[in-house]
Amino acid sequence: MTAIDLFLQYEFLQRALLAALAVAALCAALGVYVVLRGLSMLGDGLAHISFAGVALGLVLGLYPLALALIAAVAGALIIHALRAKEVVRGDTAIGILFTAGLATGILLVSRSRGLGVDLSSYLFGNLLAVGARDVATVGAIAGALLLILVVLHKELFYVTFNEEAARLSGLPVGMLNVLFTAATAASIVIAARVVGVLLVSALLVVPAATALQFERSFRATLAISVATGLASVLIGVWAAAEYSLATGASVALTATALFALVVLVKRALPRAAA
Amino acid sequence: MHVRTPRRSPHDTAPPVEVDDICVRYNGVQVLDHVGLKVDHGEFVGIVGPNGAGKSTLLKAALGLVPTTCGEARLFGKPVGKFHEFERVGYVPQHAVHVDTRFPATALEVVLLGRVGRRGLLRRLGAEDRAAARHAMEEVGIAHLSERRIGTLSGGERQRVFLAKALAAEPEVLILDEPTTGVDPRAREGFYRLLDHLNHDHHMTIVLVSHDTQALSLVVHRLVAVNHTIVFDGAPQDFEAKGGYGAAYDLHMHHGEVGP
Repeated sequence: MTAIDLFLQYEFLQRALLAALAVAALCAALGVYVVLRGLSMLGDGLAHISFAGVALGLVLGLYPLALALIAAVAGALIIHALRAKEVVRGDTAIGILFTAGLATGILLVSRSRGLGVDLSSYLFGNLLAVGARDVATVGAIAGALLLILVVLHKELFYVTFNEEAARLSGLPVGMLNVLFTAATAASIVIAARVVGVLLVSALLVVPAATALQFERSFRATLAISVATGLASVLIGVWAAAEYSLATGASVALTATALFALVVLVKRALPRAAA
Repeated sequence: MHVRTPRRSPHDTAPPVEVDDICVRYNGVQVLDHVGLKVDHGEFVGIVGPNGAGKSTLLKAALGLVPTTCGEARLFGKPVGKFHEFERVGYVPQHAVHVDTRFPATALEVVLLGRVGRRGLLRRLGAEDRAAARHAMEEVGIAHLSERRIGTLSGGERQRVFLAKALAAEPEVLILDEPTTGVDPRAREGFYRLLDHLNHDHHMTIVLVSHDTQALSLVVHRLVAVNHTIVFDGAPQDFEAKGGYGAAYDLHMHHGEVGP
């Protein structure tokens, strides 16, 4: 039975795939703003922070995804505050907090044995074994955040392009930045569910980086990023099911391969006038 | 060519831009010390001064972008803190030209951003906004560049994009901070001619900061020289007559920095 047959037959696999696609679209779109703002390391950083939440959840027997969300959002807001008050630079703030988050997670795990399997699925992602409850939660969050991105499209574009001019046009820049940070945190947590904590950048940074290679309009860049993210998940998940590979890694490598492909094709083609 | 003249309520007699005895402090330095300036409708004012003398700060204080420690800045008669009609002011910030050349945005997408102030939060930009954006690009002579990525344009072309962006809001006053930095002399000349046309034919109030005193004197009606306070405020030819730069900054000249 091929992977495609499997997916056509089992509803839970279809649901998991749909959730993954929703997350991929969300992260790909959000990723364009993240990369343009120079926050590419934020994805990784927040994923590590969310790990502390996951570990806490598993240890206490509470819904890990919820705690991961709280940890990630709290971490993101702390990073945001550290940057805004200029205590440290953005990348330093990220580095400090992700060390703290990961260490907290490790500490919690080391104090309680027997978390191996669950923990591994959070670290490396195990999309196809994700429970129905998580699929529903992930899908709902992805949908809500996508809606926010669509509604606030011009505002986020303006703030990313030139914050001062955006402020002068009357936009509540402070609030928009906080919202963006929180949305990124939430996206990271659900992305971690799909590809694992360690490979979140595959969904958040790589498709956006690929789209930026095309050097087109902002609209086109968003569209290409989303298309690339969706393709990475479709191909990656298919390959994982077909050849029994780790899903997260398969998706991440597909995304990276697509990026490499675009770069190579760009080099090979004669330079077209912009 | 059909052109738009800024809309204005007939009862609106308050000066578009006014700073009333303001002071600004940055990091312990008194950048502006009791500065007063009033710009009336239809005026074309050039603000000049040496580097670090507070010209940009004056603009930013007038727009409410930096806080003042004394006095009050007003836009159209309202204190800046209470002013929310952002579409009436077209602002071209300093270094607008220095966009990351790889930023993925077309000239039209950038000009469209000028409509955000008029549209407001959460409202989508529609056909009317696109029409206004295209119209602004035509007025400024860059309609043919709309689908070009902003980073691929020359300095002069980019400057016009940012001018079109400010104009797209259909403002009553244009405020430009060092708009010709990074623009070659020929393009600079064309740019000033364009501003002159906007002021003369469309009654656009214009306030312009530049270190380029010579060029400015040829096109503005009123020259204001700033060196932490106002050292001159009058006709450009009188500035030259009074010895211009040297005389005005006699007591405050920075070591090594002479002239524009």
